Amino acid sequence: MSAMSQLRRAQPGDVLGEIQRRPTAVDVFRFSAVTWNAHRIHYDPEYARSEGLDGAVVQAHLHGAYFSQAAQQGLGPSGRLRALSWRNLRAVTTGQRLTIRSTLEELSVEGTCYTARCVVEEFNEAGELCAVGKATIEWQDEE
Amino acid sequence: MSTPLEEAAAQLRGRIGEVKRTDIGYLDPRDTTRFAVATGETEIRYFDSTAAHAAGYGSLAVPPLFLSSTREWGAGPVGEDLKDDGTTIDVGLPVGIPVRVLGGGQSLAFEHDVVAGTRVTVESAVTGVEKKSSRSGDLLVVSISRTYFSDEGTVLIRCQESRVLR
Repeated sequence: MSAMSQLRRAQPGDVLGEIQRRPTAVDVFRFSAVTWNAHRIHYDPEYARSEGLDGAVVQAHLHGAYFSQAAQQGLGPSGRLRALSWRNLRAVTTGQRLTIRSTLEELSVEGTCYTARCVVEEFNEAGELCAVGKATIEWQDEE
Repeated sequence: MSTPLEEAAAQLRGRIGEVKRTDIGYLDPRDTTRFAVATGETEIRYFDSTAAHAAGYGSLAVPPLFLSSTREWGAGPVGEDLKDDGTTIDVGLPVGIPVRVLGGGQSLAFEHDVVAGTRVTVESAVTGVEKKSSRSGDLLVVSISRTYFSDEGTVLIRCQESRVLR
């Protein structure tokens, strides 16, 4: 069954997208560089600890980028992310393996246009919820 | 005597309603593809304009989080003008008050496709300042709105961002 067929038949509670990420110190440095973000908590572990964190932490927006990727997984060329909101619940230090998941909450169809509202969640390797939110995706039936 | 957090709250509440307009300029495909690489993006529409055209975009697609993640659109201040923590002056950060900052999250509405080569302007404003208590002490949640427009005045993305000040 194609990814599009699976999406069309999805039921609330089905996982529509799941990705794994392990943001390293280098990944986080590069994200700071491309967003011109000089905040020391992202690349200076000693400074981050002086602020009460466990080490250099992953940027809030990088969690958001991961959510956008999980939400759009397998959508095909017509797929679009229409809305995304999330809250960071706990600081994530570099090197942690993260699982980012998008789970269907509600699917609606209008003609050939499908709209899915999903819950997005990010867990660390201990299974703790690090960030949570909602995403709305749309796609056209292309088959 | 007020605490730094109370001073920050007063300063930021005084800014509610002030709108800062910033000309971001033309979105450079080098910057947007670097963002895609840095986030581990693999979707071809963000790297290949032919694939983007085939997917209905007018040009190379820009990753959804690119605009709302970027902290500075110009060269930014020289190093000695940054705060000790490396942050810079921004609508949602107090000036001259030592507070610690963490990103809280965002709420984004993607109203139109964003493609490389588009000239973009952003309007930013503080919309709320709320004092909260947590296990680690008092904190402020600062809400910031950012609306991104194309050159033609079309709204591309609406963003509500929260920052946590401790």
